[in-house]
Amino acid sequence: MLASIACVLFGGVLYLVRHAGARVHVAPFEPAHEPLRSLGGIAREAARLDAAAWMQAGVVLLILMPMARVLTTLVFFMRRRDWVFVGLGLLVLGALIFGLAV
Amino acid sequence: MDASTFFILVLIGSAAACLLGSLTGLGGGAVLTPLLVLVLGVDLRYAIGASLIAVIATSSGATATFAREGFTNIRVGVVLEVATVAGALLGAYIAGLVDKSTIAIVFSIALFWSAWATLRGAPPVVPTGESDALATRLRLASSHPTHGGSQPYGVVRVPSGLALMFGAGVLSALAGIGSGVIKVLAMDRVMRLPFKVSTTTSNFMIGVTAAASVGVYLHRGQIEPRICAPVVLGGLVGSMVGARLLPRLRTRWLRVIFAIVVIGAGVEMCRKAIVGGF
Repeated sequence: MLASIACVLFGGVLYLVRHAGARVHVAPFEPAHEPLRSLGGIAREAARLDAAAWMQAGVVLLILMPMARVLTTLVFFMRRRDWVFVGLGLLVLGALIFGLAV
Repeated sequence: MDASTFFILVLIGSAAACLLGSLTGLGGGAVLTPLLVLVLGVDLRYAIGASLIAVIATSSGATATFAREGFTNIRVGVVLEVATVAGALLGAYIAGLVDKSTIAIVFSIALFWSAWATLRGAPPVVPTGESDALATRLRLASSHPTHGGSQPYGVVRVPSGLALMFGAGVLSALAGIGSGVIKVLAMDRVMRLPFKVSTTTSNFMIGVTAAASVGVYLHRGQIEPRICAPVVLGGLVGSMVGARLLPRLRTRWLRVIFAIVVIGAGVEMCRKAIVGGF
């Protein structure tokens, strides 16, 4: 959670310093800039110190938090050798990874 | 509007939305979407994406505070998550096929339902001590802390609960809300879990449901960092403050005022959808 906040803050400050007076585009809808729509693209742009990519990285880290929580419960059920629940947890985790990666 | 003014307005707006959302049980998304669309003129497609981010922030911020208290039933949560996550992926897929007015109408209906359920308050359902066959096999029964010590409870009607959860997942992904109202309904009315267990377990699941659909939104370009970044900051702060305040506040009057605001927003969203404002 702190990493998410840190990324968003860093990107946000960078963005506001560079574009404080710029107009924000909020309507009509145009899909976000292509690299900001995949994990690899966000990492590449962030390496180039792109402000929007750092903010987006913070957003993605926040999305990973529920995933981490599912992973924690998965480990909990594995320790107890509760295989039905390990299977259910894997199903949930798989769906989450599918949503984000595919 | 210039970038810094917009950033600060969204920051304050999402903090307020998530604070009030967590206090009233309506969730951050129900308030943030109308705020972005009707007040700040943000396109509905961006607003739904940002609202899902607020939902995850609310769930994460609140869980960080509630988790230790022993109310959340993780086994029930995991079983039902299978259904909500499947529903969320389907809902996110459908959202790409239908037009904005349809989404606005679905959103408004969800708002009206949430407002009504919130006004009605906690139900007088008495939890049963017994579980039916499937719940027993999955060992879903548990106990929760009460004033008189640990109170055991049973779980019934898992398949009906799963069906409702699937619907909650679809709605969550379509309208960009947590649909905690349906989740709590499924757990306390249908599966007979104690109210406090239902609400905390629902909160535990809401973030997972939203995370399932938000990936699809990300690929579709609906997660705009210039809008979502202030939502992350505001949302986390608002929900953490909300979770700390909740045990100390009488929320009845807050709920009434809030339900009225939400109904008003729903009516306006509906009107805009019908006259073609989107």
